[in-house]
Amino acid sequence: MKDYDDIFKQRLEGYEMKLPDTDRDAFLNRQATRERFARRRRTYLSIAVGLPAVAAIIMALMFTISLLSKQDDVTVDNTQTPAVQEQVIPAQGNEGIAEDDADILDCTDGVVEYVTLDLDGDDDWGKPVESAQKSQAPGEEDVYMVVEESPEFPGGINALMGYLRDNMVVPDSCWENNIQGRVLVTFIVEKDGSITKPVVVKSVHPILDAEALRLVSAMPKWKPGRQNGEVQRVKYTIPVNFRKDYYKNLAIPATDAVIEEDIMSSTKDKTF
Amino acid sequence: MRTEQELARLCTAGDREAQGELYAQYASRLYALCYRYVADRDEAQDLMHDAMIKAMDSFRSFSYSGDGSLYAWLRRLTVNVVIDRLRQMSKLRLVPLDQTMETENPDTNDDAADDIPAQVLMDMVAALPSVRRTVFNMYCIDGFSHKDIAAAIGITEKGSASILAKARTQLRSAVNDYLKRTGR
Repeated sequence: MKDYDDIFKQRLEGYEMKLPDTDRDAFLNRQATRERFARRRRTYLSIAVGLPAVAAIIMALMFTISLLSKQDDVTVDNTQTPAVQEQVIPAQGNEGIAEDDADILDCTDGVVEYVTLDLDGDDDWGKPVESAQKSQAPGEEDVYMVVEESPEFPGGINALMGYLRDNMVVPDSCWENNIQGRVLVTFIVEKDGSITKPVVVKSVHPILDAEALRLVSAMPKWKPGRQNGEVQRVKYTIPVNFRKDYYKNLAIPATDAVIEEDIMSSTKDKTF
Repeated sequence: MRTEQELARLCTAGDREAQGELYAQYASRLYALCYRYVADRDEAQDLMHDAMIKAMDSFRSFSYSGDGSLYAWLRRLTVNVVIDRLRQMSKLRLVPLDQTMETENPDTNDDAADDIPAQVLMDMVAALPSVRRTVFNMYCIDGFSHKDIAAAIGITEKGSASILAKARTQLRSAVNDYLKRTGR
């Protein structure tokens, strides 16, 4: 009895599959976005640490000088104050953004944080899609890509999954012809929570694209995103999964019993 | 061409060109690797991105030990990313109700199997149920031990071995089928 292990190993180890041409740029953009956020977070951290230190030094300095000479107070003030202001301004501006950065980093870093929300393990939720960024940028300067408080589907992501599942209408012919996949739809959550400008940024098939657009357009009003406490227009992206039994599978509880059975029955095959 | 070490260093430093080169050299191989485990192109593409991004952060733990060691390192990291994802998706628990063992085909000419196109072999692996596919890939192609596999996907070593036996039987049958179909 021959095993084909060697053949599989020789041929498949290091085998290459062709990727879509756009994939390289998508990847590099994603990495660049990530690095940008990481840098901003570092800046914030250094300011958070540096500012108290600078303040302490200045206070110590002023205290010493005031002990030495009361007359010099005025000149000291002049030289030191600008330095303090320089530090203060960016610190206020960055505070909110940096908090948000932490989230972004987490979701690109790994998928762990999203498991409970999104059982598929996708990390596409709310993530700006690079191709959309390019095609839609002009003339929309007041649309935020990232805000302190992200917009939210009423009831959260699980409710959104439920909404998609319960309202999705896909002709059986799609499943029969193996038309399935994940459509990414980008849209804007307006200040009043309404959804505008839905655009398919990753297409699968015209039927599914149209259904994804219909689902997104028909969503109830969202809780709008906020920046510095004010509601803002925010661009958002969600994946709409069209896979047969996808939503049904999510509900199946994982049990060890099933795998035990697999092992038990395999011992009966005396193929070795 | 940069050395592997230099490439790794530049990538971490955020050198866009180096990252492009890393992508050019490894993306399609790692993509195929992911596909071999998840049997879904979209998913494989996502995973490949995740793995490469993770690599950018972890190059510090890469130590050069000869040509090809960067790929070996990337490959290991990628398999880990893939296994993590499979675990999260509970794919490793859901064993589809058994496609019971195909009847044994008599073995055909052994040498003929050498000519099967790699993509066909790929599809055969992809057609395995996910637990079998994972064990087969880890053990036979990516060189993990049953001990590693047991620890990674939470089964016993004995369980791993018997799942592998099932995977082999199914693949052997698929190969024989193919050879017969193509008239060899």
